[in-house]
Amino acid sequence: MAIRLPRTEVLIVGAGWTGLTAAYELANAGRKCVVLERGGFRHEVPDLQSPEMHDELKYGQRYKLMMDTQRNTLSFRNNTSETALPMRRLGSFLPGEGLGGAGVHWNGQLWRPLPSDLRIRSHYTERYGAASIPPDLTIQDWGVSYDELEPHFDFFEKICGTGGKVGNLRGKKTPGGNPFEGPRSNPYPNPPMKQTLSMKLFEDAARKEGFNPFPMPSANVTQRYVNPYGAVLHPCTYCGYCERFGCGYFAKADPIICVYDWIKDNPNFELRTNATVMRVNKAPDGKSATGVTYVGKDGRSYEQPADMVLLCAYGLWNVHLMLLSQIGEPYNSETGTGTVGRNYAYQTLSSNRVFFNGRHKFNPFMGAGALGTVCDDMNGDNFDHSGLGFVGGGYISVTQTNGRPIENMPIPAKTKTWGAEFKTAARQNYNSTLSVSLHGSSMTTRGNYLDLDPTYTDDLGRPLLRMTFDFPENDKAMSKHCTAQARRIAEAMDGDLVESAERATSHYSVVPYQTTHNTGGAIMGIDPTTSAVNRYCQAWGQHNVFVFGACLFPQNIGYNPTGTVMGLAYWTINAIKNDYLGSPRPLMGGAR
Amino acid sequence: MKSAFAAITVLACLTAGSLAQSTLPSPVNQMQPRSSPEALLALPDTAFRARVDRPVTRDMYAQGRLVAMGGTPGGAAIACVSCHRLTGEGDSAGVFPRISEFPAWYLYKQLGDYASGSRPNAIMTPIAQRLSAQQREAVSAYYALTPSEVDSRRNREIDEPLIQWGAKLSAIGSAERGIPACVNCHGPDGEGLPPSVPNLAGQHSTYIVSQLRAWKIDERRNDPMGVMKAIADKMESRDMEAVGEYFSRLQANQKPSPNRDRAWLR
Amino acid sequence: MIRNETQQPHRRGKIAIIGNRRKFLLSVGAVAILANTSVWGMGSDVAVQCIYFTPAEAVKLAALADRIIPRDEWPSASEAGVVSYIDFQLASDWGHGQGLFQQGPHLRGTDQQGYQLSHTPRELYRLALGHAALRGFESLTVAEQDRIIGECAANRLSLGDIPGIVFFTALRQNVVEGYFSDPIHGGNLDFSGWRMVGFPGAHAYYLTDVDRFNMSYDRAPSGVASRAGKPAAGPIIMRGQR
Repeated sequence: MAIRLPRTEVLIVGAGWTGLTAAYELANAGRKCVVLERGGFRHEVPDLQSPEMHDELKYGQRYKLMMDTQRNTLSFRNNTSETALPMRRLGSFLPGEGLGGAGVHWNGQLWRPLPSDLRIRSHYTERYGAASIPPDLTIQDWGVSYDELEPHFDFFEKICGTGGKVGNLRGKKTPGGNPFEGPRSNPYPNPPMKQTLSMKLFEDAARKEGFNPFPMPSANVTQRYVNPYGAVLHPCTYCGYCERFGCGYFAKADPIICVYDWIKDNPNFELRTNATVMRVNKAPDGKSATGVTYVGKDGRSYEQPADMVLLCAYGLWNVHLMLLSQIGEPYNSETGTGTVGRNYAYQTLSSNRVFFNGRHKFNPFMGAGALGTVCDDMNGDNFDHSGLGFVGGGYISVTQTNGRPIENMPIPAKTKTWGAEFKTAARQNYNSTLSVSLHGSSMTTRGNYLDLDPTYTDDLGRPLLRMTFDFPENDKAMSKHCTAQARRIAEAMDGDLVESAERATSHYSVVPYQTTHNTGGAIMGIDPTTSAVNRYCQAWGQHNVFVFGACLFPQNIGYNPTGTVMGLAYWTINAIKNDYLGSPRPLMGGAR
Repeated sequence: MKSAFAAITVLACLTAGSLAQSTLPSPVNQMQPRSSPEALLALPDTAFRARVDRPVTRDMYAQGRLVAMGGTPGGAAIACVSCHRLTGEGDSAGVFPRISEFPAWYLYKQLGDYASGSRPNAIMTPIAQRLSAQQREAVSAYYALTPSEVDSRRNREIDEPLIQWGAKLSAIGSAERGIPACVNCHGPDGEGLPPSVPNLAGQHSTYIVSQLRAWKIDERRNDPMGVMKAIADKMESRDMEAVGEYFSRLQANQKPSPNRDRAWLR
Repeated sequence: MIRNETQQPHRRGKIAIIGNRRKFLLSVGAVAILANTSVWGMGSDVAVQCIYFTPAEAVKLAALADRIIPRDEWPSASEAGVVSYIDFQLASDWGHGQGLFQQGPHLRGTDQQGYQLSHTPRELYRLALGHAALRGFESLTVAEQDRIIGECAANRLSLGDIPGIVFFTALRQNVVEGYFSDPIHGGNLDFSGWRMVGFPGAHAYYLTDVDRFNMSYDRAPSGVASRAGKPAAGPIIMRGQR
């Protein structure tokens, strides 16, 4: 029997970027907020300080900051003809756990979507005709425009003290930035990161090949900076322990130092850690949520009544919770009906390794998560898709994120991965190899989706989330085309050997790490038959449930998701504060 | 059984870290702890510490020693040794910092910053301005290769809570203040991280405090991207005194240090 | 090959001595200091104190690991402490299945679905090392050893219910981990793995170096708990944590 707790106004599931930000804004707007976090408490001091943090085995290989797959995971299959089996270890992606969530161990590559990304179906239809979109794709417009989100992108970039070079300032193109980006209301709050030799070689080669290189926007802060909440961020030391690690230097924007520290003492704010939400409870008529039931630190069950529930867990687990709580209709891949679990997407990556065979010293261990140079020429619809037979694209970049030797020991593909040959190749190439990478979009199909597993359960007895996913033909074609373009730059760098490797030439695998960019499953939109939440990210059927995170993306863009996730978060928080709270109701008609 | 016992002995040696006492070839054991600059330069780590941009030569070292002693034509108006001593131990009054075994690149950069005025200092600016780039490099290499004893501080009064607080700031920083740990950048136990991060272990407390204050009040502005400014801003007087007291008591040269250990084993 | 219980009460474990020339046992110490020199040509024996492995297993694992990373002018895997490293890993929570979802049914999956066996890492090693296909592995010629590992890597050989590729993947990964991880975990003795590639380790501040092109960054490595010239006392540290 669950212990019933006193009512709160706002119940927030998850203490990452979105949950803590929602708590900050709503607590400051006078609302009592309770944040439930399934993981433990942690903080820069003492938990993220180096040298202890700089232990590649513990954090980079054993994933001490990530979710515990011994207790809870998901099951996976490539298609419905297979039996989904548990992802028994972390591999392809690394969801977080604990205060700050995955925002603690991200790289800090902070992007906005292209304006056309947010209205992808309309855009391709207008420019190339409806027939240009492959018929198996279930891609759709987001229901929100770039202009509506722009102030929120801008604000989050200030929260993170983002460094970069503006390419489009209020419609005016500025040299050195991204010529393809949507108009910005302000330049980046900080200058770009420094430039490494690998980035310089890429920049020169890209220009030579007719591309438009610019510095990657970075939430690894480049100089002393005070964010709008009061956080003082320090300059990045380029230590090379960013993704998979926490930053002990106060230099990588994360939800703990940027948000939590500035709300923790507010009496309207309460954080409960080691609290796993079992389900969202609904009113008898099903038209609103009444709170949540969770298992606390002591292993007991609690019922926490609340006026509204914000789902701010990692995207996959938001979908899981919606399926378990019957918030929205589960997606059925056979009929194509239902919305929760629909349009799961990922990211389509490839690389072109350039081996310089000792002719350069890149010192890859001097790195930062968002230290890189990028070309956006092959992203989104920045290039002519006429007759190509696919939609989407990706950015091409050289990044110098780290030289941690277990993870990064590049050797040519023909070299044996063990024995004397491996050993010789390892020391020959460690310091003189770079990779020209493609970070590609991921389009949605009817057969790629999330639902509940019929066999396997987590440690609390709940069915696991089941992922059915493989790379769509569209994305394979995109990868092939754009990787070849990236290879042009790689080949112009005067290396001894260029080797291309595309993820999307065969089946998607959950084993090798690719990226923690899982999107969709609880997508936003303006049509309740094809979206799980409306354009304000409010559940169509339960007006006091709002959803946050990359699960909202109708399909995945060619960028890292955090900037878009947080733009949407502030957009939703804005709608809650300025519209919903005064008159709680469905913010769009059409609820079933 | 005898063999097994031998193996245990080896393990004991290994784990106690006292390798040199086992049966290494005799020349190793005969090597004196105080190595010559040449011997030190043969060690990659020390050579790296002593290098500004190019390898340190015997001549460069000799020239650096001359500069330190004020003996070069057109050299420093005041010999380095008159304040920093020949061994670079400085002065415990704290006006003159310990610079022995500092990374040469760091010392070289400071001399450049004094000369250009980005680290203004009434004494050092004119001295640095009189030195050529080559002389700055040489004297930096000289002090990078020169160890010194940490003078006895054992008679000083010890404020235990203050030192505890300093040790905590050094090792993990402060959540309340938002201060990262000193050793994040200043190397193991504050021994410095060549080429660019100076030693803190054994540094005079008053000097550490004065520099933190200088950053806080914008008197010193030559730290890259304001990294020390950001930290000093968050520190109060007691925090500064705490790290000063703590690091000044770290007896750098009585602890195993990379340079000395390896030199000795050679 | 000799085994015995140690005399130290707090270090209760087994000792395996790999190789047969006892006088070179001490070269382990020399190795730790003189990793740059050609001492490796001499042929050295390695003393390993095991928590989990039996001496026979340790000897076999050393032979396997030394084919993954053999000796050249830099130490072999076992000389760099990799056997100790794997032993500690298997004795730790990770060896017992930390981070491994162990609920059944354990069905045979596709390559894309990843590891699906019911064995924890420590069970996997025990079963594989005890399997007939690896009987006497340590006494085989190098060519024969390489052939067997190659068969595993190509998945043409199974060790009981363990497909060769599964064992090979685990072995290769753990050997590389032991060779290149921080010495606090028991491998990478005297930072030999880091020195070999030029990785400076845990203490990292490159704000003024990151944009110096082609800089020769020769700083000796330092680890979380130790620094160059101080061979890591991996076993003791690991035990302290447990």
